Amino acid sequence: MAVTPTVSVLIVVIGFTLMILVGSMVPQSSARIPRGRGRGSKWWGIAKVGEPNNLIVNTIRGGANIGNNYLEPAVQAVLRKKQQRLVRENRGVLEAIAKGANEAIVECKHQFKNRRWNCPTKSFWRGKNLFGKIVEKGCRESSFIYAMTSAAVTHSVVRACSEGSIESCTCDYRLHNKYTRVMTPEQNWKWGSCSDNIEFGYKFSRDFVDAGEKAREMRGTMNLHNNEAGRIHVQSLMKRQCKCHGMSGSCTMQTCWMRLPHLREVGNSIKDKFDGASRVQISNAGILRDVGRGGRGRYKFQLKPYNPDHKPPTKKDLVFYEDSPNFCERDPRYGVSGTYGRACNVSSMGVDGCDLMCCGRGYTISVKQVVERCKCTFQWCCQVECKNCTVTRTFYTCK
Amino acid sequence: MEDYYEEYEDYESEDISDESLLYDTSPFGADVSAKSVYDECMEPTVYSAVDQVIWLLFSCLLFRILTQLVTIPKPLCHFVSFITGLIGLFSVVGPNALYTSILGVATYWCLVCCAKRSFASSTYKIIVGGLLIYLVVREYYNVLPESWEQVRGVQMIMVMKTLSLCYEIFDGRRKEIPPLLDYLGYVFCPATVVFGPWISFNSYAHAFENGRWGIGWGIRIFATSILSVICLGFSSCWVYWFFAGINLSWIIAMRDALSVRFSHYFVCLMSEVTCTLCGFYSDDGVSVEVTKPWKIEFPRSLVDVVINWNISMHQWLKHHIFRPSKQMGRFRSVLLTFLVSSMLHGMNFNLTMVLLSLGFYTYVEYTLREKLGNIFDACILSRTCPPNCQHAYKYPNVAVITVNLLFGFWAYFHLAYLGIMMDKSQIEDEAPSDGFLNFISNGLKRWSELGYASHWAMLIVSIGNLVI
Repeated sequence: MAVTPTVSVLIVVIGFTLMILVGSMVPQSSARIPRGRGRGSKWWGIAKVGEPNNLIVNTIRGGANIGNNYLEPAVQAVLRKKQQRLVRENRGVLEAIAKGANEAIVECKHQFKNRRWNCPTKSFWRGKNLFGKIVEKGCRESSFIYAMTSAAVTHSVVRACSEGSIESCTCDYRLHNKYTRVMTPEQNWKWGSCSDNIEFGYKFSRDFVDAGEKAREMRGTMNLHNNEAGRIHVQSLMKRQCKCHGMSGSCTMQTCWMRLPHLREVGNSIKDKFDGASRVQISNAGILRDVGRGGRGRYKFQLKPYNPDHKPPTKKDLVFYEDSPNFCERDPRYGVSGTYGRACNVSSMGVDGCDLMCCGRGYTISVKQVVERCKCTFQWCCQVECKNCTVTRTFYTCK
Repeated sequence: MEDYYEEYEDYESEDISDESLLYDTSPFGADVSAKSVYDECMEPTVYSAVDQVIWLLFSCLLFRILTQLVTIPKPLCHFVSFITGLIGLFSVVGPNALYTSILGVATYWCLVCCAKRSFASSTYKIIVGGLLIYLVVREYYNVLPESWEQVRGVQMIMVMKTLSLCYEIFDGRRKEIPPLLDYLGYVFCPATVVFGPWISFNSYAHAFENGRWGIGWGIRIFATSILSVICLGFSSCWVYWFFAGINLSWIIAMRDALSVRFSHYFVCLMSEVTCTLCGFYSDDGVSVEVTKPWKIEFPRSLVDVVINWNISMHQWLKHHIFRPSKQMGRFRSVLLTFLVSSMLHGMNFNLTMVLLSLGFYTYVEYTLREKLGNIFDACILSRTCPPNCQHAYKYPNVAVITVNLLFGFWAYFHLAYLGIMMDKSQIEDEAPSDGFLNFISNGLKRWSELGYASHWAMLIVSIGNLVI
């Protein structure tokens, strides 16, 4: 019976030691992560706020925040103070951001479906980053994620603007100056289209997405550049669509409207830049250029190409400064699960081919019977009717 | 494996995305909702259109109120017509209205100079030729291509009015050139100055005697305006939405041709609105009708389409060119008519190709159907048979209906093919090219994409026609 107090004392002591240890580790890790990845990425969690598995149902979809200035705790948890203020000031914008974040995930998965890194996302946002730990590294993949999310939010806010679901963003066609329309297209063709929407979407996205990124850090600089690149891609893909009307094909009057690009076009364009992304380092004069005028002045940092023979990155280019992991093997540091069990294309020589995808480990061949839709016929109007056929397919999966 | 991306390091791509976008002809993806088409396209389009015509409509109303509410002296009527017309013209085409005004006044002085001497056949021909050549020269040697594009239709209407006046004098129906004020009132009348249609001097002068105000007048204006706005929205937005995500060249051709036709209906209906607003009625008392969309969308024949495309233009050509030149033989007078018509359009390459093709097509179609109608003794001619015609097989006969329907589809196929040449919406992106051959191949690009299918088909049919 004399042993028991000793044991219990021991247990208590060990317990305390563990608690202290854990306690000292927690602030360490939470301090490390923001320094690594920049601080503006938590808002991505909005994409998952409405999902039932987070136990907070319909916060966004139900429109619970409409009508008062109170934000749900789940929303508050992922937004910074400035972002919360922006959301409160622009009613209806939260839905657009959530939609944009989700579209960004879908687009990212689409663009990378044939690559070793296929844009995995977590279904739980709490305590973890939505895109996993890869974001902590300043590599190409992170640059794509930042540019894509920023672009998708811009896109979605502009669309919401034109649909009239954001109250603070109105556009009055009647106010445009009448005489600008006789000008040549290069001059103001503002009339007849809501160019204000684009302006609003761009500005809002800059305020919202860039909140919390610091240009003083290498990582913050990179994030700001990539965020801006995403927005510029949306802006530059906007097209003015015009149509002439007049006697027998003349152009007595012209009606125009601004066409918002499909997000797929934006995604393709950013993916091109991903392939040609520039590796950078901050030049010695880097921070001197930050003249502190606020607004656009923030973006006047200097990024120097890592390889001095390369051109400096343009506004549309994506930038990164760290090597990507090779994504072949499981690597818990970056949340990479490796390419084990991934499907590959045996006839392709590219990154989706079995050689590259499986990193030389080889692949297994399996033959399965699958049920597919086939013999589809178009029924007037407008349905497609199909039959189910059982076909034998060969699957190649990485070892 | 660390250098997983090494292959991309030297990859310098400036704008690959732009290149791939050239082939995306539809402004809408397949997943765009009707609501966003309405918000993003329909609303700005309609607003900008209304913004551009609203002052024209106001000046039309002003014209009617000032001239037709109370009786005022005739010269004052013409003066009001001239002033309100100028206001309307300026509000739509801006400073370019100046060219048009100068043309109007200059033509008048030319007329007066010529008519001092006898108004002989040669003088008439000189005037006709001079004005047509002026249009062609303006089309090809212009300093400001964009401003010319804007006023081409306006000047065409003006030249047609002047020529019809000359023809009346030449014909002996009119004793002398009307005074300057009458002439300016006629040429600049707000009802017809911007969007047409051509009306004769007499129907213009009749307008001042029409005092019919009433609820029917208002309803007609309202209904026609709504219809024209619907056509505008259909032409700029909905057509592209219906066909979103389809990439077959013939379907795209059909879509673009549909868009061109509806843009034309918009312009014609708008001109009907201005005419009705100004109190113009045709000679038999009903309001002016410029086009019949249903006869073009569900055509009986290409001849029917040509006639109903722009009824007033057709009347003008028929009375001033086709009938007087009938002694030259049918084929020649048809060709001459289409030639003059394309000169009126300034010999614009695309339009000329379309019009000359149409001239050939309608001739072949007309003669072929006449022959077939005689052989089978059936009502399958280009025009609808009168109720008391002598044919053995008439309308309710299934075979007759089938044959006419087939000819209808035949015409619709050619319409899609011809219509894309008039589609202006894509020309904007193309860089202007030098050299005559380049110019032609650029102009024919859209037809060559379709393999000149319609021309080949028509050629084969015309050979068959000769054999019969």
